[in-house]
Parts: sequence; C-alpha cells; structure tokens
Amino acid sequence: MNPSSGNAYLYAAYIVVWAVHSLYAYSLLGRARRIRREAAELENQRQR
Amino acid sequence: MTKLYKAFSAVTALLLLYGFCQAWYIAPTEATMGNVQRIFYYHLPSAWVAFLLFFVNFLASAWYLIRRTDGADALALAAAEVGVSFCTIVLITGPIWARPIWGIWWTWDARLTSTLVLWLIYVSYLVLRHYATGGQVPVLAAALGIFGFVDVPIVYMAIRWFRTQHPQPVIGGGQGSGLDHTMWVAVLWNLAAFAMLAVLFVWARYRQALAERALEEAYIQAEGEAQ
Repeated sequence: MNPSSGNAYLYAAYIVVWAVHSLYAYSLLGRARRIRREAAELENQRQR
Repeated sequence: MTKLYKAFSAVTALLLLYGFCQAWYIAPTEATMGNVQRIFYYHLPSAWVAFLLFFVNFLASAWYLIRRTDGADALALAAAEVGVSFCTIVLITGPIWARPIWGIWWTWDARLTSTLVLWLIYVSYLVLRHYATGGQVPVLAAALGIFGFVDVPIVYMAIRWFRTQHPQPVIGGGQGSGLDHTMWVAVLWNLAAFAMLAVLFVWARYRQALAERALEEAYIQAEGEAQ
C-alpha cells in the first residue's frame, strides 16, 4: 500500500477531532456569556 | 478565569502541539496501512479519555446518591458532557479509518455496536438532564449514570470476548499484539494532552453548572422578595 494513499482520510479524521473540540469549547464560551448576562440582569432587577 | 486555569490551558496547548508532532512526524509510518494509521494517535487516546470521564460520572453519580451534594451532581454532568464529545470523536474517526483499511465504513461487530450503545446511553443522560424538569431529575440521572457505566467494561472487553472486525487489543492482546516503542511514545503524549484538555473542559463545565444552580436559586429568592 502506498503510504500516502490514505492521506485524505487522515486529514478528514484530524479535522473532525478539532471540529468537535472547537464546537464544545465554543458552547462553553456561549454558556459563560449567558451566565454573566443573566447574573447582570438579576443584579439590575435587585437594584430596581 | 483564574491564573491557574490559564496556566493549565497554556500547558495543554503545548502538549497538544507536541502530541501532534509526535503523531505526524516522529512516529514511524506503519508498514501495511501507511499514513492513515496515524488516526490511531487520536482515536485510541480519545476512547480512553471517554472511558475515564464516564468512570468519573459513575463515581460522582454514586457520591450524589449517597450525599446529595450539588458538587457531585455538577461533576457528574460535566464528565458526561465532555465524555460524550470524546466518544463522538471515537465514533467518527473509527469509520474514517475503517473505510480505506476494511473497505467499509461500519460493521455491526461487538466492539463498534457496544461503543455506539455507550454513546447513546450518555446522550440520553444529557437529554434527561437538559429537558426533564422536577426535583428528581438529578437522582434519575445519577441512577442512569451508574447503570450506564456497565457498558464501559463491555466495550473494553468486547474484542477479547467476541470475534470482531475491530483489531485485537494492543495491551495484553497475546502473541503478535503490541506496538513499536516510538508508537507507544506518540500514544502516551497524545493521551496526556487529551486528558489535560478533558480536565480543562470538565473544570469549566463544572463551574458553570454550579454557577447556573446558584443563579437559579438567586432568581427564586429575588422573586420571593418581590412578592
């Protein structure tokens, strides 16, 4: 077997790995933003 | 974000980079499969990290049932969520590797099927956590986490108990099994890197779960004060 013949599959697998981890990290950032926003809203609500 | 978290993130990034160099440039090219075998350096560590996270979920779930602490419940949720993301990687990279080597994307052998069942168990755990309402949800989720973990040893032992399309184990697989030393080095570096990435994710998600709970209680308290 030519050592390079499966390179497209290798690249695809590595892209998938980083896509999944990036998506998860992005979801964590989104959740952190939502928590901060809700905490700020609650603080405003309390001050009123 | 604490200084410790930032330092841990920096070390993890360096380890991931080094693990990548090990997998792509330092580990030798496998004689029969060629470069596509390098998928192994992400596939195997991802599977082991997923198993470890489901074990953490199991322990935290048991602890929650015994002590009913918010921390145990938050840790169980965080470990399951991150475990599912690692298990997803295993289930996608496996078929991508299988296609050029076996000539098929998927086969219903014991290892592949039990891994899919494992993924479905923990996805249902997350669905339960996300969509069910009521005070009993953490208890039900903990029970599911404990019984769901039974599938992890089944996945691990499937290639020992049954004849499978999936290759035989690289550890304790008997004669002819095992890995070249340089391949082991690449596996272990990537395992360390992905384990640290998992710790980072679980750490962040655990804190978020606790913050969400505190926020929820603060909202209820604020509503009570307003009435």
